[in-house]
Amino acid sequence: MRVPTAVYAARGRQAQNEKDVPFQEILPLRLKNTVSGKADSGSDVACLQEMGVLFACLKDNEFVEKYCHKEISQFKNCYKFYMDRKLEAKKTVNQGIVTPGNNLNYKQLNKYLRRFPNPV
Amino acid sequence: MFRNQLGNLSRVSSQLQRISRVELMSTEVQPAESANSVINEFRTAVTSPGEHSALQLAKFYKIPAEEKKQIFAGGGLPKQYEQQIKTFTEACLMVRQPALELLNYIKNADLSKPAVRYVIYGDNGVGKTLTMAHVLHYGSLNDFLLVHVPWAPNWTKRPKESTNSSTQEGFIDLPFDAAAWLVHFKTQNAKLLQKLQLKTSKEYVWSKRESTPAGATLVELIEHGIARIKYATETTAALISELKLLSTGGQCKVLVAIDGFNAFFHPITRIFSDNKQLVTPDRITLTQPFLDITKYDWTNGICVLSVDKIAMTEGYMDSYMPRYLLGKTGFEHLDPFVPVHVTNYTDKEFLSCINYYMDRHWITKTQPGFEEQLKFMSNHNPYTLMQIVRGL
Amino acid sequence: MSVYPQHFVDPIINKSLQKEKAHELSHIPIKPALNVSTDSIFYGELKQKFTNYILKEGNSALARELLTKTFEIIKRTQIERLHLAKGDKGSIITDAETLLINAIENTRPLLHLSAIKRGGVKYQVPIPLTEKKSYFLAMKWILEAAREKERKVSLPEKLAWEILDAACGQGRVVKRKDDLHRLCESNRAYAHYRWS
Repeated sequence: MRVPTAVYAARGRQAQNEKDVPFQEILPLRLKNTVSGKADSGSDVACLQEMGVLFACLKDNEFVEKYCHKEISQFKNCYKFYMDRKLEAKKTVNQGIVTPGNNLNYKQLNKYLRRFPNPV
Repeated sequence: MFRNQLGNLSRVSSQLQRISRVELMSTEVQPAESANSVINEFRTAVTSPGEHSALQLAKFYKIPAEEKKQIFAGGGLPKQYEQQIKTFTEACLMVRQPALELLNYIKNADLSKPAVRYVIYGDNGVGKTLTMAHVLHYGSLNDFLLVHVPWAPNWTKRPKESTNSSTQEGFIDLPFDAAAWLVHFKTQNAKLLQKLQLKTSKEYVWSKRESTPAGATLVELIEHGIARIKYATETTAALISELKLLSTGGQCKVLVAIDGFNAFFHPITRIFSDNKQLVTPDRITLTQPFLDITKYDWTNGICVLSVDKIAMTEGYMDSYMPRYLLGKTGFEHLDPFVPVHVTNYTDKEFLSCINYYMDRHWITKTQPGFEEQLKFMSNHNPYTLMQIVRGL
Repeated sequence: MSVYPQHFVDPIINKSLQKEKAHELSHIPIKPALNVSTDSIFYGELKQKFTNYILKEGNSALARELLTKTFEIIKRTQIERLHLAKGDKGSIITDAETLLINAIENTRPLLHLSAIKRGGVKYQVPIPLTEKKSYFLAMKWILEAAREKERKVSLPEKLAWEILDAACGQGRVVKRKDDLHRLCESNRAYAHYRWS
């Protein structure tokens, strides 16, 4: 027989018996000893302003490049500078020299964490 | 004399005018030399091959356009050279030692003696055909009747059409090639034939209704051959025997020039008879008159023949020496002959060639030391140089 | 990716430089030189690269021959133009390699479009190109234009026309680049979606 829900609701639901549902630890109940590097990769959006200027110039000149030398070179330089910096950053990250301070990248953090692991 | 000199120079220098340096040089040189006017270090104004001497060695001379058209319209210059002439807008030949040697022999030859055979030989791409072209130019300017076969292997390797001969049993006719050769002969010698008014010695009967009477001019004979392609081969034979008679009689001088002569003795051809048998060159009717005219049983004539590796087929290209290329029969046929060895460029010729290419804008990369490098890459070989330079 | 570890240095092809650096590099491992690298005066890096792009099925002799023929045709046409030109002969370039370089420079794109998925929708996002990639695209486009031909026209012929066209800033390849730029321009609103 189906009991209308309102009947239970009036007196409140009985709690589960804990013995019926024993606790399972699916994920370990402690923090990992590492952090992932995802957040450090940062945004890839660069040179947006230069790109806008370039597009404006190109549109004004019917996409003839020789009238937009200045904008093109600015855009190229910007992107090159950005790529260079990115490469440089990657290099320093890979070197992984641990320095004191609060602005650490993931490699440095991992090194620290390895020294103070969670007790097993 | 001075005025003559000027006219001569202005003709040649007209195409040089955009290079002021060259023009300057040519004006500087005018009064100094009289007999052989020099334009610059790689060009000579002497356009007649008869006047070429060691002074013009390794220099380019220009063949006037109408003469070039007359002599080489039906072949005689390599295809790539023709292309180059078109690009450079002028037909220039380098005066080289083998050609000078040959011209010297020809000039000093006693024509009343039996015909002397000269055999030009050399490795691939050293300029055998162009040496021959130089001699042909000389012949055409000095009232020689030219009997010129631009490239003999064309007949054995890629004939236009082959039919069974009607007169000689078991022989093969090449009527279209024979007619083409007759046209070539006519264009080369049109002026001379007009002037000399040579007559045939006997009557030639082609068929029941067609014949060429004795005393007809050679032009009529040739025209008949061209018009009636069926009889072109026989006409060629008749024409050449007539030429032999006429020159022996002292009425004309004949310069025979056959490029790739060894093809006539190479047993392998690409012609097949009706029963799929390979036809050797001696079974081709068209070769016979040319073998006949290269014998020494006539006078007032000169034979300039070239033997070439490329005229052979694969597997027979081991050496460029005449004995190897001609084989035993061919060698005995020509013996005795004067061999003329064409070699690779000398240093002087090489530099002159490079300068010429630079003048014609064909070489534009002139970093220091490029000549040395080209020399090294081409091994002084004219054809290889041409091939390397075209893609720079 | 190279099979050599990172501490291997590139070989020095230039002979005069070799002497200079011999002492410096005496204890550093060096990668072997490529088969095609030479110290010749006539060596051009871009030319070599272009030959490699023409290459099909490893037949490099054919690829070289095709480029040589292309250069020959370019030179012949340019010299013909030179002879025909009335005044101003200095402006006509007869050097085929210079023309090739000009053509490639003229057809190098600055940006390209890349599809990026955001919220289940694919957006065409304009992305700046590295120099290397832009050279690659230019050469690829020129070759694609040249290969798109009728059967009886040979590749060198068509390639020569394309190069000559592109060298003076016209023709199909330059148009293709401009079209790409136009497309980038119309999609510029999505530029901030970029990631990689």
